[in-house]
Amino acid sequence: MTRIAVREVTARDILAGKSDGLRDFPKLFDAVEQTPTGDTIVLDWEGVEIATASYFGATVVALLRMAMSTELDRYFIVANLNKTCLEELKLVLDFQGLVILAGEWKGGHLKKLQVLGTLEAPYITTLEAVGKLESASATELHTAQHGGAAIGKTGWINRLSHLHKLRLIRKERVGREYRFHALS
Amino acid sequence: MELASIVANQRSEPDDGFRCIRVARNAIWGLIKESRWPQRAGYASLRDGDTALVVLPPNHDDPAWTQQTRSLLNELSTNGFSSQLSRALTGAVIEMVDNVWLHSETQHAGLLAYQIRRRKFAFSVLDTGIGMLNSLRKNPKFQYLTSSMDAVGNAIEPGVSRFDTSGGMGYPSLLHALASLWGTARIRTGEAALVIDHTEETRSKERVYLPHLPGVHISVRCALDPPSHSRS
Repeated sequence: MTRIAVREVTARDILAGKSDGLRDFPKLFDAVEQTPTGDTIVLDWEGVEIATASYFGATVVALLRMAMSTELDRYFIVANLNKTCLEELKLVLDFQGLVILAGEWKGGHLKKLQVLGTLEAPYITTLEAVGKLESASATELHTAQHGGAAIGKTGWINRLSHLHKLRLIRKERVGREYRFHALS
Repeated sequence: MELASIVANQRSEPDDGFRCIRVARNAIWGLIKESRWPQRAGYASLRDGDTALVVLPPNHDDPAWTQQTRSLLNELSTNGFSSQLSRALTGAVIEMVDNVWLHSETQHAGLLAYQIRRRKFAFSVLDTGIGMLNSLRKNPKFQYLTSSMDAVGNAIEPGVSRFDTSGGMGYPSLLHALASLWGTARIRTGEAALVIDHTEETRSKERVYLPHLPGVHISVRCALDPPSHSRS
């Protein structure tokens, strides 16, 4: 897991509008590219006073879309966004039908992780199940029937695959099966 | 400077805390008629009491502009607005100004006027550019638009922009920032004006046809407290 301090990369604390976003995207992308392939990147917004939906659209959403299209093999978590910034990010994520994990980064650890954006209840349940176990396969979730839902193994595979497509969990091939890992 | 006289002329009028809206309106009509609109040369700022008039710099990276936004943020915070609202409103102002840079396609500078009173904020952003209809029609998805009224109605929706990707969040940000506040937001372009009115309990939208106005003119009046007539 690698932390990228947005305030340091952009050298600004007011990040508003698409123009600012287009200016900063290459800086953020460069910082991301310096991390190992498959890494989880914590975009730390500590010290950023204002960041608007358009700014997020041109930066975080652009990175997330690249990751989802496998153009960029990274996973993203946003941290330490103030309430206004959280709402602005949610505005653009909701519109684009995207989700991201958001939390607090304190002392080298992530806390209070939540899903930002709209994610249906079955996916939340699955995400929580993977989070509790830290790592799970569809077979294990099916056997344990996490969340009390009686769904088939294919159902678990579909849920896990969708969460991976959204870059909320990572996927690893182990033998004939995929294992899914929580990001934090 | 011509703009200084426009601001000064407003001193004689009764001031309800929204003087900057009239300053901006007079600026846009006066300067258009007299062809004295300032060129996109550089940042300039005039201050008259609690009213500020800013000639926008040619682009978003001007340090003086950054300083202006920080000053706006601080002024809002010290005038009764929570830090969350101050950030949201400052962000909304910057979004509106960014639209001038991104969409107006004019060599003339945009203008920002604002006024901050205790628990009350008004601002106006204006340009003399191509207007919303011509801007949106640059996107093939919106070439079907034929009137400024259609354009303004569409432009306030998320994702509607001349750019196909990652644009169109400026107006949603503005409306989100104003969601908990009393007041009006007026978006004027071409022959159209869309007024979002939250001076009563129920928010309403009104569409008004007016004489043609080049560019886009945004006017926002907002307050933390309801207008006296809606209290009764």
